Amino acid sequence: MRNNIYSPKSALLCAVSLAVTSAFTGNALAEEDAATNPNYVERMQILGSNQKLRKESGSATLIDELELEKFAFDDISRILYSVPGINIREEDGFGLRPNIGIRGATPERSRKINIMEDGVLIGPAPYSAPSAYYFPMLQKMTAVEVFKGPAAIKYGPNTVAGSVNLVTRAVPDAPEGEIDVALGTDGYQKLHGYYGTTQGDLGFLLEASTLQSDGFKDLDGGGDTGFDKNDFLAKVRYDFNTGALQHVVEIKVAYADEVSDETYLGLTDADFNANPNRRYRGSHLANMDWEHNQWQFNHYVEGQDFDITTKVYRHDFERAWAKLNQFKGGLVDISFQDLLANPFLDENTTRFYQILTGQTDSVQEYEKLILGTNDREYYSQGIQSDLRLNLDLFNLSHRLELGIRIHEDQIERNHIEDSYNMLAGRLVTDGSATVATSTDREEAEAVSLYLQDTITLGNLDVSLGVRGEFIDSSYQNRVPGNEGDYLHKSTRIWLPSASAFYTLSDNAGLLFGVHEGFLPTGPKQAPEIDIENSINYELGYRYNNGDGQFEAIWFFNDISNLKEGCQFSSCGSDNDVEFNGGEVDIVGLEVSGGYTFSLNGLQFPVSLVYTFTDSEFKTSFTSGFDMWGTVTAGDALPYLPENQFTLSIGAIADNWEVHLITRYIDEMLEASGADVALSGAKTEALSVTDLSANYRLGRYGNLYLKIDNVFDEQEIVSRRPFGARPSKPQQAVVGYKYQF
Amino acid sequence: MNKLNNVAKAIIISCGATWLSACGESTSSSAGPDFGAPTLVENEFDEATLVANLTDQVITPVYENFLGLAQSQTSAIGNYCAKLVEFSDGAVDSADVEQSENAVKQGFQDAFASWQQIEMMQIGPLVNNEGQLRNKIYSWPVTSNCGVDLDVTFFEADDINGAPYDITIRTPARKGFDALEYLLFNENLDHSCTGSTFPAGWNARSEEQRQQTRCQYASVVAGDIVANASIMLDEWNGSDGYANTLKQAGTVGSPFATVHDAVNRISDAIFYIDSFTKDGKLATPLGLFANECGSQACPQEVESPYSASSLNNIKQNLLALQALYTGADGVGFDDFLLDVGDTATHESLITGINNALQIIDSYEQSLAETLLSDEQMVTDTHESVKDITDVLKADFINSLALELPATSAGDND
Repeated sequence: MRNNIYSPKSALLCAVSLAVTSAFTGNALAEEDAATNPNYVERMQILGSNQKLRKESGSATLIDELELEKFAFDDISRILYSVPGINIREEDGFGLRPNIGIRGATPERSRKINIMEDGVLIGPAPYSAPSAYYFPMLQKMTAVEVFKGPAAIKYGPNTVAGSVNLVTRAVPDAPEGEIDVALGTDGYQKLHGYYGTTQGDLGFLLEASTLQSDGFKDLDGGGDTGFDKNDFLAKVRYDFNTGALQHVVEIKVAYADEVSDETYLGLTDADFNANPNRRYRGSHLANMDWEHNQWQFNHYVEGQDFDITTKVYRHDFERAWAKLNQFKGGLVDISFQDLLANPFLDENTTRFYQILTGQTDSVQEYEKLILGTNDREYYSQGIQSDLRLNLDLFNLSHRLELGIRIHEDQIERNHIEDSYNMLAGRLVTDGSATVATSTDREEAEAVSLYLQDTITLGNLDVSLGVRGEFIDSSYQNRVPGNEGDYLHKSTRIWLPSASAFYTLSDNAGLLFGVHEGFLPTGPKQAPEIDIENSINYELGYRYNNGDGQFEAIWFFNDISNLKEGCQFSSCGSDNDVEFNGGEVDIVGLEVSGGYTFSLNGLQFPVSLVYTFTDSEFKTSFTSGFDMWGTVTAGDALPYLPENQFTLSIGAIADNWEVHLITRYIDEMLEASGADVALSGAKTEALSVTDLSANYRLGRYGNLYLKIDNVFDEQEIVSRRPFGARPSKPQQAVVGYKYQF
Repeated sequence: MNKLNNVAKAIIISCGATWLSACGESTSSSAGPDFGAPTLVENEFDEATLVANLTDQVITPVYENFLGLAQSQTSAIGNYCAKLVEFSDGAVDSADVEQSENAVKQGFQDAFASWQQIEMMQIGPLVNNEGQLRNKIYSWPVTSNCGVDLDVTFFEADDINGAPYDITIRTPARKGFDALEYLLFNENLDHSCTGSTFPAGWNARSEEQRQQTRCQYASVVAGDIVANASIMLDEWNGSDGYANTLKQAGTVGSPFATVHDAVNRISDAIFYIDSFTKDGKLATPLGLFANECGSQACPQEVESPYSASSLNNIKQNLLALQALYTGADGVGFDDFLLDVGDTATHESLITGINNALQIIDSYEQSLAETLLSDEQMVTDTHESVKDITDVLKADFINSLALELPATSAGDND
C-alpha cells in the first residue's frame, strides 16, 4: 500500500475547508420570516430547465414532469430509452428489477451506475452489494436526470458510466393534490394520489401509490405471474431565515413493498416461438417479497453567493426471493441454460425437460428441483453535504462545487435451499431439511469527496474536478465455526476530471470532457480482483433555441480493466465471483434532437434519439465468466446494441393530446466469446411502439388511454439466466386523473 | 465576503494541487486464515513428479489395456453372432453356441471391469464437452432399454428417417456398455418399450431371429466402443495429447498456470467415488436417495442388473482409486500427503479403501440379491465408501490445498 499524497490527508484538508465555510455561514443568527425558497428544489433536482441552452460541462439529460406525464410509464426502462447512451437488458417485462447500463457499461442489475433519489444513493447497499434489487416507484417522481461523462464525477462511487437521479415530488407552495386511477389488461390496477400544501413557512406532502398486475405470462397449470407494489411518502418542509441566510429543512419518510411471482426461468426458443408468454410449471413457487423503509433529513442554506445542502439518510431493505435454482444433480448434472438450449438432445435432456415442465414426475435424486430463497437484509446510511459558491478569484469568475459524503452500508445474506419433487405438476417438498447456503455479511464505510471549479474565460467555461473515494470494506462468513473466513480491504483513489463548454452563441455551444472512471470491487472479492478503471472522453455540440434542441456527443471509454460479477440474473449462480476482463474500448455517438411544430392551433412535438455504440476487447483470454468465455481480441461486449433509436411524435390541442413513441434496439450478443452456453446467441432486434392519449375534461379532470406495445411485437430480449425471456406484450390501460 | 474568499482560495489551491497529482489508486487488505482457497504448508514435494507418474504409470496403462480388451470383446461378439447363424443353419450344436456365448460374456466382464477403472480416471478427453466421449462409451445412469430395442431394428433396416443407420450419431443411451449389457445378458427377448413407440412386430419374431438381430447390433455397439476408445487414446497420448498437457503444466503456453492446477484436475477425477460410487451405485439402490421404488431398497436400481457385475464395478472403482492414491509403485497422492505432514489423513484413506474392498470381497451374492437378503450388508458397504469420501472432501482437500469439484461441493447425504 502506498502512503503518499493519495492518502486521505488531501481529502481531510478539503473537509476542513468545508467546515470553515460552514462555520462562516453561522455568524449571523437572527430568525426572520421567509418565503419558500425555490432554489432548494433545484438541489434535489440537479439539472435546470430544458428551455434554454445548458452550459454544464459533461453530458446530462433531464426528463421533466411534463415529459414523464406524457406516457406515465411504470417501467424506468421505457423512460430511459429516450435518453441517448443508455443500454438496457430487459428481464421481466415490467421493469421490476431493471438492468441499466450507460455508454456500454454492463447493465446487469444496474450495478455499474449510481441510482439516486433526490441526490442520495438509493440502491440497497451501493458499496457492499451494488446490484439494484430495489428501484423506486416512478409514480412519485417528477423528474429523471441522467449524468454521463465528467458530469458523473460528482456522483460516486461508480464513475465508469454515469448516474440516474430520480426526483420525488416537492412539497407544493399552495394546496395541491391529485387522484389517479387506472385499470388495464392482465389485471393491471393503479391507484395513486397525493396532497400537499404550505401554510406560512411550513409545508407538507403525503403521497401513496399502489400498482398491481396479474402478469402477462401463462403459467402451465394456472396461477398468477404478476406483482403487487405499494409506496407511501411523506414530507414536511420548513423555511426560515437567519440574518441574510435563507434556510430550508425537510424530513422525508417513505415505505415501499413488493410481492411478485417473478422467476428467473425462461423458455426454449421453440417454446418461445409457440407462445412467448408461456411459463413452465417448475417456476410456480417463485416469489419475490421485499420491504423498503427510508427517512431523510435535508438542510439547505443559501447566502448571497453560495448555498450548502446537507442530507442525512437511512435506508433499510429486506428481501427474500424464492426461485428455482437448478436440478439437484450429482450423478447426472445439467444446467437449465444447457437444457433449454437443447431440450431434446437425447433421452436424458428430454426427461429433464419434461420434469421441468411438469409433464413427468421426478424419480431419481438428481431429478429433484432445488428452490433457493435468497433472503437478504441491507441498510445504507450516511450524511452528505454539498457547497456551491460563486465568486471572483484571481480576476476570474469561479463557480465552485464541493461535496463530502460519509457513508456506510451493509448486506447480510441468509440464503437457503430446499429440495422439491415434481409430482403431478406441482413442486412438493421431499421432506429433507432446509440447507443454508450463503450466510455472510459484507459491509463498507466510505468517505467521498469531490471538488469542481468552473472558471469562466469569456465564452469558455472550463471545469476542473476531482473525486476522492476512500473505502474500507469487510467480509465475514457468519456460519458458526467460520470466524476465520473474513477479508478487510481498503481502497483509496482520486479521480480527476476536466471539461469545457465553449459558447458559440446564445443558442449553441461545444463541449469536451475527460474523466477517470472507477468501479470498486465488492468486500468479498479477493485482492487480486482489480478495480474497474477507465479514462472516458467526450466531445459534442449542443443547440437550444427554446423551441428546439439538438445535441450530438461522441464518446470513447478507454477501459484498462473491465470487471464483471456473477449474479443470479446473469450467471444463474449466487457466488458473486468477480472477473477481470482486461482492456476494452467502447466508442459511441449520441444524437438527440427535438422540435415542436405549430399548425392550425395544434402543436406537434417531435423528438429523435439515436445511439451508436461499438465495443471490443483488446486482448484475448479465457474467462470463467458466463458472458465472456474464450474471448478473442476484437470480440464485442454482450448486451450492447450497436444501434438504438427512439422517435417520439405527438399532437397537442387545447383539451386533448396524443403521443406515439417508437423504439428500435438492435440485436445484442448474449456472450462475447466462444465455449460458453450462449456463445453465438443473440437477442432479437426489437421495435416497440407505445401510444398515449389524454382528454382533458376541464375542471372534472383528465381521461387517458395508454397502449404499451401497440403492435404487440414480442421478441427474445435475453436468454439469461435460464432461457428465452419475452418483452412485454401489448398492454392497454384506461385511467382517470383528477387534480385539485 | 473577504473571509469567504480566503477560505475558497484555500480550497481551490489545495484541491487544485490534488487534481494535478490525481490518478492514484491503492488497495490494501488483510484476510482471515480461512479466507479463499486453502494454502499449502511449506513443503518440498515435487508435484510434477506426481503428475508424470499418475499419467504415465497409472492412467495410460489402464487406458491402453482397455483398448485391447474392447477389441477382444468385439472379436468374441463377432464369433458369437456367427455361431448363432450357424446354429440356425444346423452347422453347429447348442454347446458350441453356449461356449461362444460364455466367451462373449467373459469378454464383456473383462472389458467392462477395465472400463470401471477408467470411470475413476475421467480426465481431459473424457470430460470435455460435458463428458460426451465418456457417455458414448458408457452413459450410465442415463440408459434406455427401449431406445436400444428401437435401434436394434433401425440398424437391421439400415434406416433412420430415410437415412442409413449411423451409430456414431446415435444418442449415448442407445449404445455403449449399458446397451451392450442389455443386448448380451438380458434373457428376455421381448422389447422393453412401454409407451406408444416400440419396435413393431418385434415380439412376434422367433427367438432365433431376435437373438441374431440383437447380436448383430451388439457387434456394431462393441465396434463403436473400440472406435471411441481409440479416440480416447489418441487424444490422451502423443506429444499433443492430454497426458502431455498435464505434464507440461506451469510452463509457457500451458492451459494450467501451475502444476498444482494439473494435480487438482486429477484429484477432480477421483471424486467419482463420491457422486457415482457412493451415491449412484449404493445410496440409490439402498433407497437412501430417491429411486423408482420410492426411496426404499430397490434391486432394479443397481448399476448392472443383467450382468450382475455391480459389485465388481464398485471394486474396480476402489482399485482405481487406490492406484491413483498410492501411485501404484511410484509417486502418488499418499506421498504428497505425507510430505505435508498429514499422516492421519493418509492412514484414514489407506484403511478406508482396504476396508471397503474387504467388504466387497465378502459378498456371496450379487448386489441386487443382497439388497433383498441382507440389506444391512449393503448399508455397511455404503458406510465404508462414505468413510473414504468424508476424508477426501475435508482433510485430503484441505491438506493438499485442492478445490472440490462442483458436484461434490455440497453434501448430498
